[in-house]
Amino acid sequence: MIRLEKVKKVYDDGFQALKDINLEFKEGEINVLIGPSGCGKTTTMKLLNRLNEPTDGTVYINEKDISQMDPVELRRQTGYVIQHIGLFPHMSIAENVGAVPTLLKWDKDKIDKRVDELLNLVNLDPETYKTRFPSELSGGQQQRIGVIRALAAEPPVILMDEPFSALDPISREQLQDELLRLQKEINKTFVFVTHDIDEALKIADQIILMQGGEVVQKGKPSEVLSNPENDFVVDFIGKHRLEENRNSIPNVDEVMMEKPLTISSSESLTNAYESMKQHGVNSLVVVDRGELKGQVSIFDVIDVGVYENKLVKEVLKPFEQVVEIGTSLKVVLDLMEKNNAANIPVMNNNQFAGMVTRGSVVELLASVYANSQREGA
Amino acid sequence: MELVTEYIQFWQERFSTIMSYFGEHIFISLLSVFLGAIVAIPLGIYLSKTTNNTIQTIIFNVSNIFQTIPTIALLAVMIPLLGIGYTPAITALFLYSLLPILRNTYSGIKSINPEVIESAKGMGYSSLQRLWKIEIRLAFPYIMSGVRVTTVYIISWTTLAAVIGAGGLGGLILSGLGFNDKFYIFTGTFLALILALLTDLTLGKLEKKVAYK
Repeated sequence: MIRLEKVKKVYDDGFQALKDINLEFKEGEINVLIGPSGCGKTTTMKLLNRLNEPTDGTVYINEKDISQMDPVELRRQTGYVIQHIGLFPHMSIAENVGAVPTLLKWDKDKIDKRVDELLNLVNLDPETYKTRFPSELSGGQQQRIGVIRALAAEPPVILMDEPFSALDPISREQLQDELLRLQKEINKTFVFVTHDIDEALKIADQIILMQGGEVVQKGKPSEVLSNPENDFVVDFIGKHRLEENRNSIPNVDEVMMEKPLTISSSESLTNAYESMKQHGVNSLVVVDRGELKGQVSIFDVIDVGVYENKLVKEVLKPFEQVVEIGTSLKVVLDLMEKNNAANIPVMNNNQFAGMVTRGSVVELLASVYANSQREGA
Repeated sequence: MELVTEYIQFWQERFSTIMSYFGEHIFISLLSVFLGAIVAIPLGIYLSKTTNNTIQTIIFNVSNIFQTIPTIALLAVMIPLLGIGYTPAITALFLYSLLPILRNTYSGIKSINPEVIESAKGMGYSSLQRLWKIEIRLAFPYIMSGVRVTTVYIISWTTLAAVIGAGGLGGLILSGLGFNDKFYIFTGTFLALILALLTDLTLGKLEKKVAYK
């Protein structure tokens, strides 16, 4: 995890590039820094491999203050891709991709194997491309090499500074898709700088919107879209995108309660009753180590008798319907309506992930329509 | 026809003399360029890195001044300072070789795409590794062409070194002038020309071989 604490940056000419930045980049996610030019997004990113030093404040990577680390070592452990690719024109593709492993003195066979593996990862045939030089490749191919070169030594963190912005729209789309596919396989922490809001909304797990050296808003793309912090955010995202988002139907991930009250099937009814009373709910989800068993409601408990010496598993009722994560809310609402169900569990690979309840649906509606006055203005 | 036989005879009689002048010529010119390169390449790299504009201006101006002094004048000035022979000749020619090599090295390093440098830095090349594995390699065609141009004209200027007693093919030409002997003059000129052409060709080949595509 990367954490910026009270970071300020003032340039020699007195320009205050960053004003008190407190930020966390989430591990294993694509964190996108976005904002108009001069907002400090690139400055912020370059703090992470010490191409830029903060005037004040501290940057931690895995709780280690990086100002105490050797910058050369730090950079070898951090992937770096820049806008204009920056491949070394005098080195073959294989030498370019193997550059950091060579600096780290890996042995030759290992580097060779790694280069093949990486080229395959972006669908470039190693036999064809290894011996070529950067000038013999198209822009899109060069940037693929730029990306895998950054991945070569398996750095846990990869920094990307507008990596796709100089490409034509088609190559850009392709590379974004490839990045998303890659991320599913490698699960690294990306810090990605862009000024293209569509790109950000497409690839980000976390969007960090900056303006004038400050963080204006951060969150999941859907959160930023459905709840823009102020007029600047609205303008930056663009009204048509917000409109589109409003009209599009979200999927269950955005609606479900992620941590409803659960109880294990081997608990006693008494405990179930106490838990419901304490939290003011009328049912509990029964889950055994992630596996969904059913639910137990206050009526079941009372029917049997609260103080009967019985266990939850004897009275629980299995759910009639479950949905997978990623299902459209429309499907879920349909099910709730047809079966007159008060709630529907959401599963992720047979593990219990959360619960869509009537309450959570209302909450979503409120979050969208409670803001609707602003856009009339 | 008679002229050709006479000329062949001239070569047969004076072969070892001609060769020793030729050898001196190669020695003087190549040593001057070599010394020039040893000083000017590192200096050029330093100038391309330093942010101190005053030093840059001073060094470029000084080497510019050497360049503007007429060859024969610089050689003459060397006599009271260093006497006659190899030393003053090589010193003067060395001073002439500085500027072109310096300029080309400087622009070679400056011509490198800043994004390549930033990439290298961000990937974790140390300053020395960056210089050696990236910058010098990329600036090499520039540096090499500076060395090549310099070598060619230093070879031609070395003919003047004979004036201050350093020998070389200029010696042959001077003797030819003294005795009014066209064979001496022709041989000196011809060999200097051949040497310059061959050196240019060889360095050109070398440059192509080492430079990246």
